[in-house]
Amino acid sequence: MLIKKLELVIIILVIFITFLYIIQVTENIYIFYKEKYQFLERFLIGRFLIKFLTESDILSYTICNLNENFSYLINGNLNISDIINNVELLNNVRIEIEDLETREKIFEFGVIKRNFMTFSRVCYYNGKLIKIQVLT
Amino acid sequence: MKSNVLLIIEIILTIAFLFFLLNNIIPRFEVNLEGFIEEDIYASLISLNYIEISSKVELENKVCSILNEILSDYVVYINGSFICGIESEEYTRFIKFFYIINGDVLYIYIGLK
Repeated sequence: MLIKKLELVIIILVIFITFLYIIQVTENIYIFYKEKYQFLERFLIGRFLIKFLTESDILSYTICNLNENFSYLINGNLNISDIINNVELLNNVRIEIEDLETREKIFEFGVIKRNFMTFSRVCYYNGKLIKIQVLT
Repeated sequence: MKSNVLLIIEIILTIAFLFFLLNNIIPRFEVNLEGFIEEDIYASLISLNYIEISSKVELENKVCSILNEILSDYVVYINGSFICGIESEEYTRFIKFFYIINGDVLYIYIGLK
């Protein structure tokens, strides 16, 4: 009789410890995938923005050949949040455009935060080469 | 007494099996993100077609300055001769590109890590 009771207590104990262990493992897996998801999200937002700025019909004639709408963007007449439908994409994003001849930053958007990745392209605009950088 | 020994063996086996089972839950995440650097370099090199380049030296300077803005480790060869970057055997990916100046075709060969 004593053995039976002992067996029951031990089985309950083992189930309880296993339960705690499963919770811990699940939490670790959740954290792992959450980090990976955030990384992928930042990556895809960065790719979208750099391709949008250099390849979209609104801002360029052909790939990396920027048109006059781009000059409105740099002058401040055109707001970048007006031409992107999903404004949430612009949270935590920094965009820098630099003139390669004078080394002067001609456009800046967003604030510097904990950025995951940097995407840069050198493009032709208004007779010169400029560097477009998206930090996500 | 016999059942007592069996009970202990049973518990040890159960715990060992459970730990084996749970420790083998390794989260897997494999996404190949390679290739976007090549895309950016091609897009940047295309912008060379919109500016006027008259000599080979000018082309070399432009290609090297463009790559210097985008990458830290690269090597550039034009028509087989070393132009700029760091020469190493660790380069695994290569980009081929060409440019025509005064009827001469210049083959640009870029190595990436």
